Amino acid sequence: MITLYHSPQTRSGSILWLLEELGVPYETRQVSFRRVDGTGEKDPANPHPHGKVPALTDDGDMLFESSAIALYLTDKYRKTPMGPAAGEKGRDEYLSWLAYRPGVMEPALLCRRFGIAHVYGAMGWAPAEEVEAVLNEHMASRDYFLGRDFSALDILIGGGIFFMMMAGMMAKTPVLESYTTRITTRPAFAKMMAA
Amino acid sequence: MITLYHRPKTRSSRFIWLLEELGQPYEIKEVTLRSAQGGSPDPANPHPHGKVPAISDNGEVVWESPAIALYLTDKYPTAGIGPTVGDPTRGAYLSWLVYYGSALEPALMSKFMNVAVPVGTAGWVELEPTIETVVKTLSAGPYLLGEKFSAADILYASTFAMFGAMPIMPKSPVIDAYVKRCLDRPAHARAQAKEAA
Repeated sequence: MITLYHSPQTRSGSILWLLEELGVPYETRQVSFRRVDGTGEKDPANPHPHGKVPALTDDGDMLFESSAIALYLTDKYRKTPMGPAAGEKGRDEYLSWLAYRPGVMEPALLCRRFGIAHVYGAMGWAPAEEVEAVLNEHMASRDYFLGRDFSALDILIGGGIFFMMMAGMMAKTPVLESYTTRITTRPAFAKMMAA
Repeated sequence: MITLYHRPKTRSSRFIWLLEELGQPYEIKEVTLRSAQGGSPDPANPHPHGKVPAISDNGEVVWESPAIALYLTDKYPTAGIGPTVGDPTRGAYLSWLVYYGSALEPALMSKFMNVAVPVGTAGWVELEPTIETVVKTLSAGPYLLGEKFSAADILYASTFAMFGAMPIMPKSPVIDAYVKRCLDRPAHARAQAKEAA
C-alpha cells in the first residue's frame, strides 16, 4: 500500500494529484512540519530526512523529493500511463524536465524572489527571466508539457507554474495562463485542492 | 554513439567518469559557457540554458546531472552502477539523484552566497543538516545505496571533492573517506587522464 506523507496546501499536494490521476489505491498521513513563520515541528512519523513533505512509502520502499516520487510512481504504475517508461519515446525529455523542476526552475524563481543575483559559472541553475522564456517558448506549441499527452510533468511543472503565477513569483502570460487553465480543470486537481 | 557536451573542470567532468564506468563508446564535444563576464550560449550545446552537462545518444537529448545519470544507467544496465525499476534500492537511488540537484546544490550555493535559506518556502534546507543527512547514510554505507557503488555516488563524491577544501564545507571524516573510496576507482583515474589529454 502506498502511503503519502502529506500536509494540505504544500508541495505534497502535487503527489496527491498524481496518485489521483494514476488511479491507484493510497492512503495519506498528515504530518506537521517546520513552517516559514517558525510554527510547527518536524513530525517523527515522517520518514523524510528533513521532515519535509512529500515523502512516500510503498511496500518497504521509501522516497523523498517530488521528482523522485513522481518518477518512481509513473515507472511502477502503468495502467494509466503518466510518463514514458525507460526505452520509450520521450523518456529523454521526461527525465530532463523532471530534474529541471527542482534543480533549475525552483531555485531560479526563489532566488529572484529573495533578491539574489544570478552568478554564471557558480550556480547550477539559470536566471529567472531565462527560465520564464524557456517555459513560454516550450509551451507555445504544445497542449501539454510532453506534447499531446498529459503527464506527471504537467503536475510538477504545470502545477508549479500555476501556483507561482498566483503567488506573483512568475510573470503571467497568455500562453502559460491557457496552459494552466487546461490542467487545473481536471477532476484530480479538484481532489487535491479538497484534500 | 553517446556525445557528452563538456567544459573542462565543470559539472560535466564527472560524466566522463560515469561514461568510463559504463564502458560504452562515447565522444566528448567541448562547448563554451557563459561566465560572470557575459557571453552567449554555445549554439552547439542542446541544453536549453546552454549549460553543461548535456548528452545526446542516437537522437535523444538529456540534460541536468540527475537526469543524465539515470538515463544512462537505465539504458546501459550491464555496468551495474544504477538499480533499475523493481530493484529494492530503486527508490533510494531516485531520491538521492534528485536530492543532489534539489537540495545539495542549492544548499551549497546558499552557504557560498551567505544567504539564509527560507525554510518552509524553499525546497531545500541549510548546508549543515543536508551534510548531516548524507553523513548518516554513509555511516551505514559505505555508499549512498549501501553496499553497492552507483552513479549517485559519482554526483556526490565529485561535488565533495570540488567543495571539500572550501571553508564553507562542514568537516567530516566520513565524507573524506567516502570521497577517497570513490575517487580511487580506476574509471575515475581514466577520466582524469582523458580530461587532461
